[in-house]
Amino acid sequence: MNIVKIDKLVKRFDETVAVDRISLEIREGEIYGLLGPNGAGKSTLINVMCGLLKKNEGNVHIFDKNIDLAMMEIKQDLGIVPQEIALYEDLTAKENVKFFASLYGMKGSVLKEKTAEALEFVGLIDQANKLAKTFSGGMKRRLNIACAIAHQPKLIIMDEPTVGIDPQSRNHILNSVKKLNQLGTTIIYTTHYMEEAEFLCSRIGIIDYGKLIAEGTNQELQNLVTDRKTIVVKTSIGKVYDLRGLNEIKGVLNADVKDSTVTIETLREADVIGAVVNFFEKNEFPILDIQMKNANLETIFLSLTGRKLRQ
Amino acid sequence: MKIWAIIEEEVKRNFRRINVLIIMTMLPIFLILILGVVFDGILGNGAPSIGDMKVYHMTIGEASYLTDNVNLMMDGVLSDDESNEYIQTNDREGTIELLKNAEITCFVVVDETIPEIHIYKNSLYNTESSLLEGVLGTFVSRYNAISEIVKVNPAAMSVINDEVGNYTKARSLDAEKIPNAMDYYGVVEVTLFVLYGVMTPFYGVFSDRRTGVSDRILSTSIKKRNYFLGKFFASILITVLQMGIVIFFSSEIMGASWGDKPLLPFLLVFTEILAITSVGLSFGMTAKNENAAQTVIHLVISIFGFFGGAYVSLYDMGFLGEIGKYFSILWWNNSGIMNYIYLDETKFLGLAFMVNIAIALVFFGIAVLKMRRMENFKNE
Repeated sequence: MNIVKIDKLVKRFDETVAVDRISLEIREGEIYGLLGPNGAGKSTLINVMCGLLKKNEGNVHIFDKNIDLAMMEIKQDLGIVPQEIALYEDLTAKENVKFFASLYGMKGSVLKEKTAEALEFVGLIDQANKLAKTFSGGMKRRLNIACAIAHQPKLIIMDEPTVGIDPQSRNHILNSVKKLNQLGTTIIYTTHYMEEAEFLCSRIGIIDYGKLIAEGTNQELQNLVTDRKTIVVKTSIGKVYDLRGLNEIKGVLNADVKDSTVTIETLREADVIGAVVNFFEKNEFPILDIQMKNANLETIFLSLTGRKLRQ
Repeated sequence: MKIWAIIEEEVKRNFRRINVLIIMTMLPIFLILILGVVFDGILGNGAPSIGDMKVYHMTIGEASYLTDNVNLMMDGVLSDDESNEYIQTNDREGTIELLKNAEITCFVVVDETIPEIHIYKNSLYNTESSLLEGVLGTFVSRYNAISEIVKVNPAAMSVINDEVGNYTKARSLDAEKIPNAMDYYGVVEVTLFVLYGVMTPFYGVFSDRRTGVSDRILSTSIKKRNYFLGKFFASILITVLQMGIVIFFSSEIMGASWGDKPLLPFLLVFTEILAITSVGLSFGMTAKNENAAQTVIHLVISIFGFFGGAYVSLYDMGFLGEIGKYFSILWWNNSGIMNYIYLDETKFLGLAFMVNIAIALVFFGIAVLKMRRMENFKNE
């Protein structure tokens, strides 16, 4: 069953087309990833879905209801985790969750119980009576999620919920999202981190310049890009690598280093592995591990748009 | 229920901000106390002294019973204090020159040819000349009425003569009903700090917009108008509570008076709160830059406060004060309350009600229009 059905949706801001004839369907129980760089139109699409922005063209149905006719009814089963930390900093964690849950009509002992459950879920029950302003960035992000789940929505839209937080909080959030999904909640997850989309999402839609340029499972998307492969070299930590020589090898499209991992995009048919190993040996860069991989989402995005995700 | 959630959250957060609470309650109480004590001797602590009045008068045309009765009445009004003078003159231009130089209090001209009574005032003697103007105004009204009666019943002339003596009682206000400095500042600091209440709805809406909380709230199942009304009612409640504390302390502890019948003055203050809350709400909805909006608000409040007599009484402010006061919501409210309490006069009270309601309607309308047009609150 489709939870969301979007048909040729258009949203313009004056002359700018932020969402350009996007059509997509999201099934019950899946984690649907919306992947795209900043300004691609992900947040605009979400804002139309939750009734904050009016669309110019097209149709949006959520829970088989038209958003033009039954938005209030739809919102009752919708949870939004906004990109920014939208909380009252001078309220406690418990008061924040209670406040947002009460806006869905919850009250009395149910409100109390669901508030505690939501805080427990995000691991903040011990901090329930502390003011939000005393929280770290990661804790605020978790509270941001708690405020969206206390009323037990069927569909949760998370708009880049891990922006600007430490790896530990990020892992906690990603695991929470998986757990929520296992409990039966459908999730739309927007991000420009391809690792998150790869880790979480059952299907992914890639958006660029307001258009849905590709959609499918991770494997389906990889199959779209049949002409590329990736070589991942793990080397020792702490070295600064000059990768200019790698880019000069015939068949290498792009080489990038992050922490101690060097990622080399190559043409699929190119036999470059020997040349890469030679490059490392010649420069006395130790190779701890080397793997050949199919294209990842970053590669796919690069291949489809000619741009990097975080450009 | 959802409106109540907005109100509860707003009130709770507001009363947790200790600095706001101090500014909105302790500061006005402190100001009432300080200004009330410092200006006690200046604003008076009993019946006002209306001595040292030098009033010139002249008659154009042949003096008749009109001139006689005006002179008789003015003599009566001024005779109780030996320092007062009522001097006849025939030099109109010279006397006006004396008045311009503030050498005399006022100049009364009885023009028998029209007939008409003119009173020339100098704003430096605003209190005294206004009192005489009031007495003359009352006299003229009754004189006109009786003159009409005399045309059909000449015997009524004796009534005029009897009535003239009564005006001497109007020479001073009832000592029991004169505001001392504590009474004055007890009222004007409340009406002034109601203006600072503009910050409550402004921040309530603007900070929600800035942080994205308003968008988050509007993505729940609350209607836009209920969110908006929740903010409006919460701001009213907060300012009413804050001013309630100030009024309680100033009247119960410091003895500032709101008159024998405080219901209408309090109602007027409430309509001022309505007006200011509407202004704050529309600012909160439309402002793009917090600092710029804050600067404008503080500047306007200071100007309103100055022309509204919140810092010093506006008497003798000259031309600027005379014109500027009409543009200050404070002046209307203070005049309405003071005139009602101390002169039993409701004209200014009514006007002040109208000014407040008009401001409330205009700005509430602006805020509603903006709210209806707004899509994404954070980015607009």
